[in-house]
Amino acid sequence: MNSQTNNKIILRESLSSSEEINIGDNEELVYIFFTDSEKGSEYFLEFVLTGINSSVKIFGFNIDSKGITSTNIKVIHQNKNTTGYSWIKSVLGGDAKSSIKGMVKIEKTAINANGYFTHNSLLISNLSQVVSTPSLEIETNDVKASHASTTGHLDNDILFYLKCRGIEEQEAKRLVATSFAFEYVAKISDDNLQERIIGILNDRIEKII
Amino acid sequence: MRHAQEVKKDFQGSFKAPEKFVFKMRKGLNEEVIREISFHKKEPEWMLEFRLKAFESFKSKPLTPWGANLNNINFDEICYYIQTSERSESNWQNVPEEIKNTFDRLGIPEAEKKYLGGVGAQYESEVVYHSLQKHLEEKGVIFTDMDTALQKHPELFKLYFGTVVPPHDNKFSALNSSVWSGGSFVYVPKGVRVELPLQAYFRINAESMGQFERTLIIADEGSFVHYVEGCTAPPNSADLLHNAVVEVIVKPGARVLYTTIQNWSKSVYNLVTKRSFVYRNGVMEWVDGNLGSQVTMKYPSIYLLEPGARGEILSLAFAGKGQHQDAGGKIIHAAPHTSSRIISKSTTQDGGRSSYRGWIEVVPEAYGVKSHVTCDALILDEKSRSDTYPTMDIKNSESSIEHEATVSRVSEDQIFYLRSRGIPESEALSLIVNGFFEPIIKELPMEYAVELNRLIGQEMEGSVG
Repeated sequence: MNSQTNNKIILRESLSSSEEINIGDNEELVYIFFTDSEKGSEYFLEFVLTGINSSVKIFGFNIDSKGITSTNIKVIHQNKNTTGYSWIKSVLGGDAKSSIKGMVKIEKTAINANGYFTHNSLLISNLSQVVSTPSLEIETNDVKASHASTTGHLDNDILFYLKCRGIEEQEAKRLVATSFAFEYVAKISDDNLQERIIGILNDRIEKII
Repeated sequence: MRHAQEVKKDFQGSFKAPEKFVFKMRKGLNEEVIREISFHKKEPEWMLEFRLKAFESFKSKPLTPWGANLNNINFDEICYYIQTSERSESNWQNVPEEIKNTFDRLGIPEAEKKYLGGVGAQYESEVVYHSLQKHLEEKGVIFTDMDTALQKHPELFKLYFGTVVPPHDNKFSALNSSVWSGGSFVYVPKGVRVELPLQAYFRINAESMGQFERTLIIADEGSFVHYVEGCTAPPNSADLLHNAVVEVIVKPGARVLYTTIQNWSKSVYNLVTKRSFVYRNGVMEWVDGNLGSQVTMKYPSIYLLEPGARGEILSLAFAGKGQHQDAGGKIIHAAPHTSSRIISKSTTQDGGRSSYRGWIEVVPEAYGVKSHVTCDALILDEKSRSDTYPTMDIKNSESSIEHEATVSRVSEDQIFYLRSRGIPESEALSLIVNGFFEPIIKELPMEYAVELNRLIGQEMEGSVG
């Protein structure tokens, strides 16, 4: 795949293969992906921040109702003032099983690096399972690095509240799941792109409820 | 008045007594050595079989491909058994002079009078001293060394020994099971609360020594016990191996608090398997302080086996020059409505490396599980390294699991603020580090908290962030 980007946006509507991207001086990449258990089961995404002031923002959506997928996301900081943010959402229904591994690696040369990885999962069926493995490898001290992971389920109180308002159970579930998945979409600055992502998300969630 | 320098040396346990022993096994490990250890201890036949079986398992297992580098351990150069005293004493006066002096310098028996419900002291392979307050003994509390327990309470011993950590669990639990010696045996009967902590103290003195103690704690229904262990060794040219297995059984409604302050010298490989089984409404808490050693690999684990069980792990690691602290925790939610919490705090300096390795698992049947994990790391200079490797394996959809981790440094603003209040830079740094560890330190018994604060202060001496 391509390795030269400049303030670039990459959208993978259904991720089918592995990818390694180098990000050079002053470059900024926005990478959006949707996993697709029909197209592939194992993905390796590697982002190497080789340039000064380079940055990457990753929005990942892992919405499935069957199959087993494993997604490995690695962000490697090699140079000064690099930033890497990852926001990954899993919404799993049916008997979908998913593993998300997120590695933030800050090498010795990456002074003033800022790395963040977050993975939130929502399990909407009894048989869905998730394995979340966020990791940090930090080799120098003048950095900021953190990660977070949460796993939750459809809250019965919220569903009950919506049902009281006359919303069908199915629709209530869809509402809760979509609002969960939308959380970080607002961080995408391009309005048209935002619209498009919301469209895809609505379709995908419709399918799994 | 002793010179301050000497007091400091004592405090860190870095002085060394001459080697003296009643019996010392030749170096190296084979079936013959294991048979001799077992014979020497006059053990029943089943224990010898247990040891030999574990040895087979040890030979067949490879070293772990992950974690710290253990390739430098030469298993043939280690002495697996040294007996320093004929028997375990219950009167401090009868403990052999050299050993007594060592523990006196470390301040062990003084504390006993005031703060502790019972004390055990292990020197090399054997426990040399054990005592328990009279009123606890009358209530049926057992606090003795493992070898005595095997002789005196064979039924209880056989019922639980090796059930929580089976010998074939990993390479080092197999090694421990084949050559184990010493350690504490604690049994707290139904409904008995041991208000003052029981303390065990472990000391390695000889060169190229391996200490393989095993601790077994059984807290019967509704009981409570706080067990504290401390460990030291003098600096040695040759590598030392400390390879323990700790098994804790928390029966319904019971609570066990297990505190470790490990301050081994920087030549020690500290490879420990700690695990507990917790039954209905029981509570298990591990407080794990890792300051010393060359390499530590230790992940206290909790199996929550029945509804209402709760587990908590507080892990503290401090890695300095040449040290690798690979610590963390593991919690298996095997029943519905179980909850857990892990707090891990680590600092690295002077080229040290610390890793948090955690595992949270929720089995498909365990609904209503709650778990929260926090790990924070401070890196004090650019030479040092910090890693975080947590895994959350969630097989039940009705559970809520949270994990967060941060890695940062001490900011110049914080240092500047303290300096402007007239605090020297090095002291400011140790204040900040102490503050960083505070959530864990406040869980410790008072005298341990004071000791830990002082230890951190000493480690931080001369280091400027």
